[in-house]
Amino acid sequence: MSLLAAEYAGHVTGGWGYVTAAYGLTWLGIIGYATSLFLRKKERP
Amino acid sequence: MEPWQESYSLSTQAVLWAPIVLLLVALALLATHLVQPNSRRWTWKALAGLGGAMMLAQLYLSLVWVPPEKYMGDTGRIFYAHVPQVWMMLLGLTLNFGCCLAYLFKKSWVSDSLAEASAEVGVYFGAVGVSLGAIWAKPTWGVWWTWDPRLISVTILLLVYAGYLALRRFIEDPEARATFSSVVGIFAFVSIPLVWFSVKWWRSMHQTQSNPQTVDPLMTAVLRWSATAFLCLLIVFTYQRFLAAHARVQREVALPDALPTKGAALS
Repeated sequence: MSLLAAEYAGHVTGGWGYVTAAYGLTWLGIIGYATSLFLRKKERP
Repeated sequence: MEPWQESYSLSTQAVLWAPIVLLLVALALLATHLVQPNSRRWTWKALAGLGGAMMLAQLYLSLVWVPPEKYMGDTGRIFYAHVPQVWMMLLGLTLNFGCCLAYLFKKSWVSDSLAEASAEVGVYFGAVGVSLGAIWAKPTWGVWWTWDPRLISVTILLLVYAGYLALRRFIEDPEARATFSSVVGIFAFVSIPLVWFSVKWWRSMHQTQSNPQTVDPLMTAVLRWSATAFLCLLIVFTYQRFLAAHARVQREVALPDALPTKGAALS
């Protein structure tokens, strides 16, 4: 095992793609749900 | 002040305590909203503004300000969006339980409309929270999904509440809809403690609940901040969804202030 591999054994490395996907989904959800609520506002008397 | 708190900089102290102050501000706005009907035009907008500003700050705090987690590295940053959204799911669905009970006792259209709103918002936060859990699981567990007790119980919970929402769509008579869905909502609540305790009752890959004594104060600070931001969104979403549900039931019963009565014909 190389020195670098030994240092990171048991650690998750990288992962910014997953982080971007998670925060992207969160914001997409917030904007999407807020928009759906705004559209439903028109149905009110 | 705890010894560890003295060793942190002023900015850390600010991030640690500011969400508590902002939480009190949010709760004060909510209390004003509930007690003073005249304030309802601006209180939800103030909460939406506070939540939006805190969400933008949350992006900086969770993606830049807080250091990577010791073992999970940058992937651990998903934690600050996943955990608060699952908390909001539990909070929203607990509110649904309270509203279902209140409807059966008081027969109030407000309780019924709030039950519908809180269930939908709870399911929304749950669906996003669980999706974020799957995104986190891939780099840490090696799989997107596994049939683990926590994951099974939360799947059951989401399916049960999706059924609750579907039931509300299928029944046209408002009084029958409110009564049947309240009974279903009360039974559905059983799944909440099942999800919460699943990591303690069974052997689960999912970690057990953490607390400020078991995680770094920097993580606690960002988690507190995120939870307060998502709480503001939960309140605003639930209120806006409540208005839509209440408007529909008012149209259906034709008499806006009418109370449902046992056995009354609603034609």
